[in-house]
Amino acid sequence: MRDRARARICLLPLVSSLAAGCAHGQSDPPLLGLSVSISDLQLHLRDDPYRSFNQLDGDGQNVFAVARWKIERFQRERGLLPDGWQLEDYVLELAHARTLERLHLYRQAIDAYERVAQGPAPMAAPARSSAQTLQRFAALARPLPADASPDEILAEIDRRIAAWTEAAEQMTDPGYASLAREEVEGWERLRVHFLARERGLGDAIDAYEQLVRHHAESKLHPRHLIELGDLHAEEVRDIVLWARAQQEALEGTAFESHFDSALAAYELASEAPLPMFREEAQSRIQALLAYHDGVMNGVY
Amino acid sequence: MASTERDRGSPSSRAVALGISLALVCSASGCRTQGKPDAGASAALHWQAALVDRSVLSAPERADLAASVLREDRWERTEDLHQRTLEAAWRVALGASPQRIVSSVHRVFRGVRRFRKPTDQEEVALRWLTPHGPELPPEGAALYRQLHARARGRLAELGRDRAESAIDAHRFDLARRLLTRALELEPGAADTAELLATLGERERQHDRREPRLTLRTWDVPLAAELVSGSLGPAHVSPTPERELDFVAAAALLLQGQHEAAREGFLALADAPDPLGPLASRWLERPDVDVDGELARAVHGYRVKRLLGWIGGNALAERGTSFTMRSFDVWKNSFTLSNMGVSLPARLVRGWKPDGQPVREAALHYLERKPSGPQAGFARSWLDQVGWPDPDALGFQASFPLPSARSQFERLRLLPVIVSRGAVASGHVTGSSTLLSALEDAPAARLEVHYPPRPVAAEDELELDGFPFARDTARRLLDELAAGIERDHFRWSLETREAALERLRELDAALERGGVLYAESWSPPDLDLLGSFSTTALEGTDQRGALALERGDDDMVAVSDVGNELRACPRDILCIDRERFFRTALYGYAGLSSGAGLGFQSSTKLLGMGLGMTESGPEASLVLPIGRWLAIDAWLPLEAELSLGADPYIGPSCARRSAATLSRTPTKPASAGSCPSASARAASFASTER
Repeated sequence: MRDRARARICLLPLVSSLAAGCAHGQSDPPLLGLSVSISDLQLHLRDDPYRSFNQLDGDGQNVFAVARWKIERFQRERGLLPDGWQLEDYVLELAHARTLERLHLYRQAIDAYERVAQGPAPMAAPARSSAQTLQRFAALARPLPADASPDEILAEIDRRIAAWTEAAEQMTDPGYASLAREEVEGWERLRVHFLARERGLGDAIDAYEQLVRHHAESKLHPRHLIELGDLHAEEVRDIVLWARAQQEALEGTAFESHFDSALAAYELASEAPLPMFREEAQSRIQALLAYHDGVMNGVY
Repeated sequence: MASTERDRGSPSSRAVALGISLALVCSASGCRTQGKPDAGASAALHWQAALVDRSVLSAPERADLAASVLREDRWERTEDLHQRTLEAAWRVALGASPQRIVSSVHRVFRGVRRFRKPTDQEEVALRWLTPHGPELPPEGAALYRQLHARARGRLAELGRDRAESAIDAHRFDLARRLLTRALELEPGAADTAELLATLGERERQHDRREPRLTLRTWDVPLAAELVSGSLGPAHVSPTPERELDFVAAAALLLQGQHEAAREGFLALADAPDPLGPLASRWLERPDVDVDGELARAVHGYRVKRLLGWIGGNALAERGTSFTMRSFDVWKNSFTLSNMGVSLPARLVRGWKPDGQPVREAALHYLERKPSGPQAGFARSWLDQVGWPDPDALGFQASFPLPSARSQFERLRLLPVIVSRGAVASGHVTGSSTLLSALEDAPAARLEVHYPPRPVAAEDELELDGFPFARDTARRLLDELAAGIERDHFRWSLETREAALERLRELDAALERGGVLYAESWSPPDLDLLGSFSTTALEGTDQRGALALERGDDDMVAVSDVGNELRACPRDILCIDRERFFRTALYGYAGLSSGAGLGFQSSTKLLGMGLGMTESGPEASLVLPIGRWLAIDAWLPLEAELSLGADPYIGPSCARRSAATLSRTPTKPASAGSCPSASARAASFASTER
């Protein structure tokens, strides 16, 4: 086994260097003009971040994170303060703001937009408009009060969900509407987890079923199903522990129904087109079946 | 291993065994002790002591058990290697064909390699040594450290394998996590350090691939228009600058002119890095180049299908990558058995890869261009790989969740099949329920059903079969278990314990409120052609009276004469009466063993076989000496006398026969017609899997 591993290790650098040699004859990174980079970014901005994973490239990297990194590096290389900015710097900063908003960094995006709004006219108008929209987003994304009671937190979460839903419906720009829908989804997920922690699994399962219904078009739909399955599986474990501690039979409890629901949710998620979710759901199915075997054999 | 654990038992059971042994020794030697007039009283005292002893295994006892597990494992591997070596030497001495000698030598090398590989027994030994506190004796602690280090090494090896795949997939963060963990598990491992260096190099190369921003002379006004969303294609004046072509294509796409944009990107696809790859990446998007997506998906499907025909799933999945794992898969695909048997079988069965990418691409195409030039092509591919299941996404519209759709066999309570012979053997109390089920069939299928809640009216129940009264059901299960324990019955599963476990599961289901039902069961009809193709593809098949099994380079057909159950379904427990005589007809054909046919007949105390091989007739007689001496449980000694023209009746044939005989005491003896085929035929006939 060790020999095989060694052979692999010897071969790997050879293969990689050959591949690298074939693919990149030069040692310096290639250069790409600003217009090409911006047009690439603009094309990605057309994607619906709520429904698709198009912002991930073939290697699984977020194109907006990569673009932000490249822009910031270029800005640092230029080393100019806003007072000394030229047209190209405003272009860069506007592109920077676009990447930040897609990464849900609303406060930083507002700052960037406001800097652009001080610049030349063609870019100042859209920057001001975006900053205005993001002010609303940033206000809705502010942290929850730290000293609030669970009931107050739950009420606040519900308010945020309602406010983000309203924002999503009011946005005329489809990109911002999509971002708002992502936020609604995020707050609803938080609500479910909060309920699971504070109110018990039953309420959380009901809330998650609602969430799955609300966000059937979301790119995270399989992920929701997996988490719903997890809640049912947690309920199964809970039932088993109580039954064991109280020397009661599992028959007559909701063991079977929760088990079946967990399995069904995982199965549905395993049909997702994205391999990441498929693999996760399949491993959950195996884990649940192994747990079932353990329960039936009195291991737990 | 489970048997080893069972054999060892708890201290109580060992004390009981010790008590019984002492009682037996005492009674045999007629011992008398003062104040204890007979051995029975002494034995009773031992029993009492054993039952009172509630102590758990001590640490030295656990260490001893772990050492013995490893010792037995080493002995088994040594024995296996010795057998392989002996077989090779035998063939060399008899001047067998070069092919057979090479095959034997290869087996010896595999045996040597097996010595160095970790085994499951190490895990078992490790479990015995856990917890590993200071109470373990020094030798036990040393063994724990050694086994634990090996277990960590295995985990590290697994981590390195996964890290290698992650590096190939450019998932550098994951690879680094895996390698860091591997280094924690195996500090200072050179393999891990080398892979980490490779990872660093690959990361640097990958970083260098990311193009850096630069400013062209014409860039700034154009970029300003782009970023503010006011750029139209007309604003991009035609120039020899290729980067401008990309901007123009992007502007077209932003305005919804997909075809024109696609043409633009296509023209750039061959451009040097970074423009070419960037254009190609956009062409991969279905919203830009739906034709290209369909063409690529179909091409990928065809390549996978071809690779799948050659090497099955493994080659289809890994055959196109350039790694050592892929090399292994390719190497395994070119074995004689795969090329000679599995490949044609896969072709006949029409092996297909997963059609999801093609399905998606075809659907995208039809969505975008329902009347496009490739629409017919897309529909024909959908016919081939299957249209989407209309129910697959039904969950999106409504809740609660549907029932789990998969048939998880593991969750199902498996039935048990009992033959008429077993019922009539006198070891089972007759019941009207059982007799009703056996009225027109050679066997009854016993299955537990749970009554629905709330209980339905009797006439609404649509369960097949005849329900047993609860007491009758439990008595029947008890009697079947006793028959298996006492060798009154024979069973289809691998071990006695597995057979008893199935009965225990049924009993537990009765305890939980289930009802045992009996229904008639008959073996399926024989479909010879289907059997052959299933055997070729999956290794074994059993339909009707004929059982087929394919080895690496041979195929065996066995028919067990007078067997009422004949064709027990796979993984189902079938119980039949033990017969005094067991006879099986067999035929085999193989690359190294040639072809032959014959019959085997045996009782518990004698086995014989007559066969016809390529070299002429041969006969064999098997004398289970170990059984005669009642020592077969410890020493399954047997003698095999063979007479025939084929010189390849090696000692391994007898060895295998003995090993199988020890597990299934009533199996027919090996006819000695070939080293592998007939031995398997014999065990196959006896177990009917």
